[in-house]
Formats: sequence, C-alpha cells, structure tokens
Amino acid sequence: MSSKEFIRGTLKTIILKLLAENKQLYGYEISQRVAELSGDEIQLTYGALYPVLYKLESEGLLITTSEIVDNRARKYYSLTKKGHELAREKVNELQKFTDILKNILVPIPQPKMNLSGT
Amino acid sequence: MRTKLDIEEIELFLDRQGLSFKPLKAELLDHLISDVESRMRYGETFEIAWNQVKGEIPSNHFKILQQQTMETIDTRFRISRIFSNLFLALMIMGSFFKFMHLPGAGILLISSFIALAISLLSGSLSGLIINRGKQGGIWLVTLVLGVLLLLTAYCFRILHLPGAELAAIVSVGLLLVSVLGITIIIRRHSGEENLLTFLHEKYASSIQRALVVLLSVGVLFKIVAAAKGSDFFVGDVTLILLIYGAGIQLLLFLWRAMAGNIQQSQNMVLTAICAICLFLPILNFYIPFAPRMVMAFTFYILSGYLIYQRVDNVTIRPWFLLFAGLNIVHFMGWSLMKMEVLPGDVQNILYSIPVAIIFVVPFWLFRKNKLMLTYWVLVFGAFALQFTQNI
Repeated sequence: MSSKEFIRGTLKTIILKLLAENKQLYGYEISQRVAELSGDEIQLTYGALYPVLYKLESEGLLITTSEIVDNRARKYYSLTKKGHELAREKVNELQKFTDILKNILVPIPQPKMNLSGT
Repeated sequence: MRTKLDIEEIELFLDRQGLSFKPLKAELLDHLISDVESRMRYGETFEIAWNQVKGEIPSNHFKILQQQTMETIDTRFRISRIFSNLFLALMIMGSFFKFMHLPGAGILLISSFIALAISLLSGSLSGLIINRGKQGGIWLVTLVLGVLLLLTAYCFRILHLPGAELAAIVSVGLLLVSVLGITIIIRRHSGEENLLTFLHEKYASSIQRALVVLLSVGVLFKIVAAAKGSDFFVGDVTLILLIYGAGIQLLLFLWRAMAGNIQQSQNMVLTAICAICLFLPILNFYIPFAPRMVMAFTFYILSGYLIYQRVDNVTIRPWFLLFAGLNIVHFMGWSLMKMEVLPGDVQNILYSIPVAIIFVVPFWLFRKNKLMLTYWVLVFGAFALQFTQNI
C-alpha cells in the first residue's frame, strides 16, 4: 500500500479534525495546514481535497460561506453540529487504530532470562 | 493582490482544462492564486511562480477532479442508488408476499423491475452527461435500452400482456448491436478507457449485490415451489433475469480487462461470440431447444476459457477448471436427457440434490475473484432453472 492510499483512507478524518480546531478554513488553507503539520510529508492534490470537501458538504457535515477577497470569491468551510460530533468520533477511532498498529509494528521487548539463578 | 490580467490568465488556464462547473472553478481559481501569491512572497515573479504552479498539475487532473466532484454531488447518481436499493427491497418484499400468498405480490415484483429500470437509466444517463468526453456513450445507451426492453418483456409475460415477444425481439436486436459497437470501440481505442468500462468500475459491486439477491430469491422460490408442488413461474423469471444480469456483468468484466490491453483481438472475438450465445436464446419462441442448448454450451466453454486465462492464483486455477468442467458435463447430460437422446430422468432428486451440494462449494472457493464468482452465480442460476423448469 502506498502512502497515497493511507492518505485516501484518512483524509476525511484529517479535514474534520482541522476544521474542528479552526472556526473556518478555505481550500488552499487546508492543504497548507496539512503540509505544515506533516512537515511537508503530505501534499494534498486538488483531486484528493475537493471531492472530499464537496462530499462532506453534501452529507451535511460542513457548511460554506463565501467572501470576496482581493477581487475573487473565497469559499470558507466550517463544521456543522453533526460534523463536530463526527470529527470527535473519527479522530478517536483513528487514534485507537494507530495505537493498535503501533503495538503490532513495534516489537514488544522480551523479558531477559536469568541464567545465574540469583 | 494580483492584477486583473494575472487573474484572467489563470482563469483562461482553468477554461482550457475543461472546467465548466462554476463553483468548483471559482474555488480552484482562489486556490491557484493563493498558491502563486505564496510563492511570490519568496521573491518569485508572477510568471515564474505561475509556471511552477502549472508545472505541478498533471494533465487532465482538473477534468478528472471535476468529474469526481460532480459524481459526488450529482443527485442523479443518488437517485440511481436509491432506486437500486428500492429494487432489492421490493424484490425481497414481493417474494415474501408471494410465499405467504398475500395480495399485492405481483405488483411488488413488477415494481421492483421498474425500480431496477429507473436505477439503470438514471445511472447511465448521469454518467453519459458528466463524462461527455469519453468514447462509447451511444453503445452504453443501446445496451441499457436492450436490458430495459428485456425487463419489459418479462414484465409483460408476468402480467400476461400482449407484446412480450416483440419487446424481446427488439431487446435482442439492441443487445447484439451494442455488442458489435462495444467490440469496435474497444478495438479502435485499445489502451484507453471508454464510458462503459469506466462506469462499470463504479457500479460493479452494486450489480454483484443485486445478483446475489436475485439468486437467493430465485433459488428460494424454486425450493418452496418444489416442496409444495406449486407454480414455478416467478422463480423461473427471477432466475432468467439473474442469468442475463450475470452474463452481462461477466461480459463487462471481460471488456474492462481488454480495454486496457492492446494485444487482445482474439479474445475480443471470443467475447463477442459469448455475447451472441448469451443473448440469442432470449428468442426461445423462435429458436428451437437444441440450437439454444448448443449456444449455452458454447457460452460456458468460451467464457470459462476467457476467465481461466485471467486467473493468476495458481491454487484456485485447477479448482476453476474442475468445477467449470463439471458444469459443462452436467449441462451436456441434462440437455441430452431433456432431448431424450439419453435415457434418464432430468428431475431425479437423488441426482439433483448431490449436484446442488457440490455446486455450492465454488461460492466459497471463488469468493475473492469477482470474475469467477459471477461465472458461478450464472452457472448456479442456470442449474436452479433447469430443475423443474417450466418457462
């Protein structure tokens, strides 16, 4: 599985989490925050970001507002009540899952055998 | 803040990329300008920053993005999903009503066919509108119309309405024309994605679910009807629809595999022959039993061969060969007994029950391979239909 597939599987949660921590964000801002928080390890493509944003909006998890900034329209996304609830749920789920993965991937140190008999 | 000319240049770029959905275009315009501005803060000129941003966008990226976004929000796709779920719910309810001899069972079953028809129509039309640039739209419409007329023909048969034969003839005509068109399009544009295979990739799992429900309902009808000694008609109609549904699903899987591979001309011809052998027996009122059986036999062998070629798993290959071979031998024996060439009773329960038990095993064996599983759904549906068939 490539890192792209990991991102695809967790992008919804990442976006919900970012929006839960910020009152509102616009598309470019979300991609920049993700890059910043991941130390430039995750660079969201347009094709990854926007379909998810539109999907979350169509599911009633996000609401949008538009503002004119520097002569162009800017669309801001923020979480609805349902979105906040799901964000909490999804983040908890993902944290639990990463803990489980850590346990699987990091070998548990074996207790040393005491051969001296002391 | 960018000048009007800079913004126009970026807008023009988005237009050339084929972006026509205004809300998305406005959002991407803001995204691109923000990106350019951010780079300019590090001392780049607009030209250099804009060329850097453009250079990072793969070709067709925005076009694909627009398609994906449209599919996400397009209510027509939602309509298609709602009606496919409605079809399954009505089918199950109708079957339950029929078993319990409650009034309204026939209406529920017919309504389930109508829901399936609406689902197919709305899904394919939405796909056609959103993916205008893709090849093969006309053949998708022909195929869907053929399937809809086939459903109409069987609805008319259930309701004993005149016109069932005419609907079946037109349906077969459309299905055969679509096979020809699809074969040509795959051959001419090999290596490219066409609309039919593109949409099938999205809907394959839903079709598979519907096939499993049809098989369960059809087999249940046959078991209850056999136990009670009552009418087999609804079970038979369900199984016939299942056979054609699974057959079309199988063809679509094969076409999809061929669309991505240029070296497939021989297999394309074999798939087209498979399709002809699948669709012509619909005209059972014109084509006698023996030629229909030869066609079914040819279909089993050719489709089995095409699937066998695509099985990479060496553990499962011999199993597929064994069960496909068993089915062909069983089918040949059944046909010859039915035509009274061989002595024996085709309905002998001492023979049918062990065969049914053996034929259940491949569902578990092939569960991870969609192609083999679809083949077996068709085989099992045909086996259940052979048992006390009266249509």
